[in-house]
Amino acid sequence: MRRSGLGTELELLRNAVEQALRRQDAELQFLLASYYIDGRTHAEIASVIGVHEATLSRKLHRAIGAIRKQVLRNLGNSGLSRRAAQEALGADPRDLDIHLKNLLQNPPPETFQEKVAP
Amino acid sequence: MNQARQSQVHPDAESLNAFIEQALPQPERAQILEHMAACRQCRQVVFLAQQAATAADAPATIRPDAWYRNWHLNWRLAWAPELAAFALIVILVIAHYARQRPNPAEMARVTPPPAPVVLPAPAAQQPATEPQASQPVPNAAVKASKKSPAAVHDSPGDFAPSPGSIGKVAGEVVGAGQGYAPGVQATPPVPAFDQKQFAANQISTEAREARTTPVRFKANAAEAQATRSMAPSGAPAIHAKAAIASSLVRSMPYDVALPKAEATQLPSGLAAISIATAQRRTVAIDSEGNLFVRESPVAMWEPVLRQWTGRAVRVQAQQASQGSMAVDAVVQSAPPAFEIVNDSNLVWVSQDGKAWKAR
Repeated sequence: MRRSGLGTELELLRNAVEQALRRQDAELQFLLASYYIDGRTHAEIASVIGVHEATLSRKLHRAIGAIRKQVLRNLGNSGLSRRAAQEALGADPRDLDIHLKNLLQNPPPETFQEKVAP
Repeated sequence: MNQARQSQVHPDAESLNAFIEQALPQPERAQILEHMAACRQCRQVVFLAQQAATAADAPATIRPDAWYRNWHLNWRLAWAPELAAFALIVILVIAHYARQRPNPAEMARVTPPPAPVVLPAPAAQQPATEPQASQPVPNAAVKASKKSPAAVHDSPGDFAPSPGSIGKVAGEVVGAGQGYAPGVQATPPVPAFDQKQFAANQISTEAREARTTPVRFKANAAEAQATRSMAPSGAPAIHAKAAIASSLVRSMPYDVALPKAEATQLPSGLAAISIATAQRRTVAIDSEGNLFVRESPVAMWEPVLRQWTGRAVRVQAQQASQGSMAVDAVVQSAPPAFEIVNDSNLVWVSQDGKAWKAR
């Protein structure tokens, strides 16, 4: 019983994270992919997008906070209480069946579709 | 399927360069950002291009403090041209001063030649009758016979002591001190006095001495050696004679030791044929019989009005004898007295060399 309940919470958490990442704008998705997936430094990313390193750091910090709030909100919308949602965020990430790379690499279905499909 | 679709929609290189240069408008920039958020290849291309652009801009950027940090490296090579310029200036200055310095050859041309020594006619005819150096000189012998040794060496022309005079002085000194005077017996006999030959000998001797003084001292040395050889070997008188000779040389006034060539430069432009000095006062006669006097060796020659008859041919210093022992004292304290002899062998005397009266 307990086992099935944990699997349900992890499933809810995976769906909430995917929805939160997909709702971020294109610039934040580019920053998260460059920093967490490609391993670029703040200076390299800042020089590409034309901002200061401190600005980039603040943007990354705000993006992480926004994603966390969005995940909690998504978990609440899925029927979990606030406390249950906080406990779900404290779960071991290794237990989450979330492939962030695939999640970030998969573009939204509407992206460049107008150009690709003549 | 997703990857294949992404490869078809990759933006071109110009769009990526424009994205790096921040030159794209906001809608196109948002589309490229959305594509690069999902496309790893495009992100890699953009980051590599950005690194290349940064590396290309790095050498072009000049740090403002680079020249200040490396100033000592530039100064290492800065001394070479400065040293070359300094050496060139030194060479030019030396060349300039060397060009301004007069040529010694030109100076020699400007300087008038010294007046030739013109010997009088009697002196030119004298060599046939001139006595040998080893023989006693009549002039010195006569003066030694009628004057003291101090008077003999007082005059530069008569300074050379003859063996007879030295022998007499040595005999007096040795006789007074030890009672043994072998030099007196060794004195050669004095020849008969001939007044004409005496005058000719005097002129010739003085002219020869005027030409070269060292010869005179050589003659003195020869005479002293001859005197020494006449005395018995090992006798105390030899040392006494050598002491007397050395005392005569030491008591010689400074003006007597001056080169005779200087006395030949008389204001008349002629050579001096006879010179006499006493108490630093010098009287000289040129080849025409003109008389000149000077107060000291460094004073100018002054012409003396003719107060005698005929042509003066010889001048000599004459001092009163104070005793034969005090040689140096007589030379320094006796009043000067000069006498001149004309071509007729008449004698005029003077105390100062300027006012003359017949003897």
